[in-house]
Amino acid sequence: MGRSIIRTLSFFSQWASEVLRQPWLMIVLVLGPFVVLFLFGAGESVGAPKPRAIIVVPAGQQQSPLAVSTDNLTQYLQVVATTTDLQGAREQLANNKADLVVVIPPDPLQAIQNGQHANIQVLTDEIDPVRLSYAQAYIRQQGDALNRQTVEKAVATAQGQIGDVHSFLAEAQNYVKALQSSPDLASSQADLGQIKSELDQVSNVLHTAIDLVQNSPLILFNGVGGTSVSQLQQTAKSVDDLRSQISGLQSQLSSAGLPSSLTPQDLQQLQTSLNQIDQQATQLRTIPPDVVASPFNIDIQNIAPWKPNGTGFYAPALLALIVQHVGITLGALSMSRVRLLGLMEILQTSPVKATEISVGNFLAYGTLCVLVAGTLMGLIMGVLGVPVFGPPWAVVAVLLLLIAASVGIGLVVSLVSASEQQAVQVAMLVLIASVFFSGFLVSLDTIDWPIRIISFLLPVTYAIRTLDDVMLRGRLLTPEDFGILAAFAVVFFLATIFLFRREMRAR
Amino acid sequence: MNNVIKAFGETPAVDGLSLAVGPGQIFGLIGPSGCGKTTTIRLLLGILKPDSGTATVMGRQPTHFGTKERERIGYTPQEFVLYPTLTVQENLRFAGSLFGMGWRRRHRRIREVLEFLDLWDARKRMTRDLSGGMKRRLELACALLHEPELLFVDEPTAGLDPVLRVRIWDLLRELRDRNITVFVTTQHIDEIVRCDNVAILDHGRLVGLGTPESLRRSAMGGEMVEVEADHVSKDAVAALRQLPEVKSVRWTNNGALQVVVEDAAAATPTITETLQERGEAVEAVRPVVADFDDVFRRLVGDEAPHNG
Repeated sequence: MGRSIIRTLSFFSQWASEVLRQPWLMIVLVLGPFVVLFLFGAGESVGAPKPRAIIVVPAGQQQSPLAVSTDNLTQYLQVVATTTDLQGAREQLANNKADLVVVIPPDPLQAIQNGQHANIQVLTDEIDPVRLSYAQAYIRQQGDALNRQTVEKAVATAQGQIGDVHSFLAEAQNYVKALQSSPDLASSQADLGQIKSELDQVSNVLHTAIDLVQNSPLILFNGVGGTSVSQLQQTAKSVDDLRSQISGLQSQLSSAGLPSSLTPQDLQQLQTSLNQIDQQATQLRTIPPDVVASPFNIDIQNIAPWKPNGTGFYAPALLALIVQHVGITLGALSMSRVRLLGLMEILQTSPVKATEISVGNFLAYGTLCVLVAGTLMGLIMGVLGVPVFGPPWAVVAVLLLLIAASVGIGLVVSLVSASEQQAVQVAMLVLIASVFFSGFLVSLDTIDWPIRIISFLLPVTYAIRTLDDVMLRGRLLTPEDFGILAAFAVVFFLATIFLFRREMRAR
Repeated sequence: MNNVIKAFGETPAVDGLSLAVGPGQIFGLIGPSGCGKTTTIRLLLGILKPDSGTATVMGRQPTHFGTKERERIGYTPQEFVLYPTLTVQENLRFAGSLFGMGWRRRHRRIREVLEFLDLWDARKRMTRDLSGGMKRRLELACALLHEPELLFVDEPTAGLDPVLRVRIWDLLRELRDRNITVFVTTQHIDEIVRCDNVAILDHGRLVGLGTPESLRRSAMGGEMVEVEADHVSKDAVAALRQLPEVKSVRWTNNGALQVVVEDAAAATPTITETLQERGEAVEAVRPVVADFDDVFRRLVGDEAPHNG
């Protein structure tokens, strides 16, 4: 037993002697990945940059309620030029001087009144599918914003006109008061005429507002601003009813010729009606135009315990990726080196057993990976400020399992590879596959089946998922990942023993 | 080894090899490059499996060696196979731990073998910085560290200058004197003489087996007496052939007359007398020892004797 332990530890002490003699190698191995992570975080911005856009406006654009202001386009676009030259803009697009060309229609109101969309043409020359999808999303949001701004503008205009109703109604109230103390029939007739005149103006304003709303692109907000339209119509109907009522009173005065025909109740009703119309008009103005244009506001609340920036978000995944790569590469090179040096014959003729070689190599390279992972973890937490919200044991456990699985894969690669170059190539291939399929670069959900099978063949996929959840969310959402990683480690450990036995067997 | 055959593809590397090696001797396996020496060692170490025939080392088939057998065997491969980025001492520690040696024993033995091989002062030097001779000795040190009873050394003198070669053979003799059986291969034919017993291989086949002297006798047909003379007549040569001590007479490539006899010391006076009786002007008649290069050539059949 004691001899077996000594034989097993021979690889560890050989490794330790070599590594301790080369401190710079260790520093590069440990600090190198951190510098990569740090630079990645410093240079990375989440999402895509605003597309560079050239706005092509029509020559002599009409000043209509729908005239598109280029100022409105800058929320999602980086406007690099505004021009009337469409051909020139297309050439600049083709020469990669811009990402988009936005062509503003010459008379959008005319198109809308004709029952057609006002078409804003957007040209792009994008070959990157990711950037193209970003650009399309930006353009759609821009279109929505334009539509919303148009509605807001129309509502604000209508509400501005309704503002005049107040003064007309106040004037009408004054005449009602005068009517109450009218000394004679002529004065009463005159006051009623003045009230009706004021109401005529109110009616005109309301009908103008209704026309504005109904004949304008406010048709776009049928489901959004419909309430305001009906309110306008209701108020206008109340005015018209009052006007008819006043006409009736005027007729009564003319036919009866008696001032007493206007009872105090008539006057009270007239005042009440005017007050109601005033209230309705006030109510119409109390709804802000942007609420009419966007009655539903989307309030996004992120309940995640930490809102990481790019560095913080990618840190756990990059940690897992680097640990796996270091483990696989060291493992892959280990036996290639032994073969290259011719040491396999020494192992074959010594009493050392395949299991002892396997365990010894796992210990040696696993320890190196633990040093790399521990140092990286310390730097990620200490320097980059990435927290661990979940239980620390889960982070330690997942990293140890990932290291065991990775070293196992590396050793298997080294034992089945014919040369050092072949082993390195396989290690690089695993790294590339891990970048694309592990959820590091793109979410697993975006990878279609059956290609997603590749993701689940990589230990780093489970490690990234668990580290993200434990470190950034503070919850262990997929505890089964521990079992899968452990299975990886066990399978590759057994495979390593089997392959070592085969390697040491007489041929 | 009993009629062992090992082929790689169509080519037999070892072809029907049979030999036995007793304990406490230097056994040399000698032959040109590619004759199957390393393959033979690998068969005896259990690295290779014979296609047919049997090999037995210390009473067990090498392919079935267990820990105990392996602990009794040391091996120095032909190529340098240690870690170049470790020091002499660290490589020895690694080698010792592969054999499960505890710290105390390993520490003691490292000093002993390094002193024995004159490497103690170089113990802290990086292995990559050692000279060829030092590397050879370090490999020997690694193989001797665990005190094996049987040592396989594959071409220990390859690529070394004559002085270093002598030093290596002196060390091997010292090991033999410590009762370690040394199985050594070499392609330097002249090193046959340094072995207690030798086997000569050619194209995987055994062409000679025995002590150096017995091989020389069997290759040359007996002992040799060389006659130095400007001219020896045909009558005199015929008279020599008639002598009962003489087995054969031949002319060498450099014009000397070689007489093969059973006992050179006893036959020399008779040969001298026979030639003088016939009036031959003889400068000298003396026993000579055949060069092992000649012995090897004769054994592998490269040189046919010129019978005069």
